[in-house]
Amino acid sequence: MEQQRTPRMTIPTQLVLHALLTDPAKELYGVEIGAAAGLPSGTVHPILARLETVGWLTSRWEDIDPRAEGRPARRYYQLTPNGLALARAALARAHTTARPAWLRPLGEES
Amino acid sequence: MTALGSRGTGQAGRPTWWASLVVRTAALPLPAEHRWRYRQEFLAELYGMTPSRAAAPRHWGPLARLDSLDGLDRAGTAHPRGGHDDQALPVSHRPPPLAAAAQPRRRLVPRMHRLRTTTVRPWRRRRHRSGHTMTTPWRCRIGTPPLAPAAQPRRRLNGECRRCGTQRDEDMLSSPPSSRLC
Repeated sequence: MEQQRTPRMTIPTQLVLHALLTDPAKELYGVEIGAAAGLPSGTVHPILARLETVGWLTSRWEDIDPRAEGRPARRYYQLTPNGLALARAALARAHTTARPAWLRPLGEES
Repeated sequence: MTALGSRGTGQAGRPTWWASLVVRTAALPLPAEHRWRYRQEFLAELYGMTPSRAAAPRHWGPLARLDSLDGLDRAGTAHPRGGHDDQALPVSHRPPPLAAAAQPRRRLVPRMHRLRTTTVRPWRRRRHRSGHTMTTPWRCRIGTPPLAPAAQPRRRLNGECRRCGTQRDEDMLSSPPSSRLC
């Protein structure tokens, strides 16, 4: 059975994507993404793993000398070009289709 | 008792030994192919946190979400029975992401202990009220109740169980244990 290549667009997923879309060219590591999204690392990392599984994200280890820096290398995440477009589309779709009519502000069209 | 330097200083730097231990322990149940990566990643993220920040429950997430990371290969894609885009709520009403970090956190999902409070405890309370056998003192259940001496007009072996209040008499005490339960 072919696996669908769309991550579940839950609210935490949307927050993580929103954080990554703030500056798509910038690589972020887990704590930064969690701080930007307002989510704990235990929520962020499974989402990042899912997004990476479906190809929306790439990750790489930071290229540093741990002894010189005094800390281990971080793992940086960045949206792929394809993931960037898909994430924007998914967020826009979630924004327009998620709310039922009675939750939308008055005057907003569906 | 620490091998690391930031204990008690309140400064960011190397994590405390127990924070490292928690992270290493949290990574143990992960699939073998992901274990090393996530252990290194979590440890790297501890660096730069102050000890108090690392001790915050929100950063103990790996422990609480092991099941999520455990299913890396099978989780995360839209399931035909749920989790589609249409079920999501918009995020536009939320503050900008970087500003959100500076504001008090709004909890999106109730904590597990709250779930337990709302689900398990009422059930346990109902069971308690219904006189389930577990509410009976264990000594009464095994037939050796703690008897308080009662009035013994004719030196009879009667008494009252101090736990459940059941009155006992000589005949009851001399009967087989199976019939002496409260």
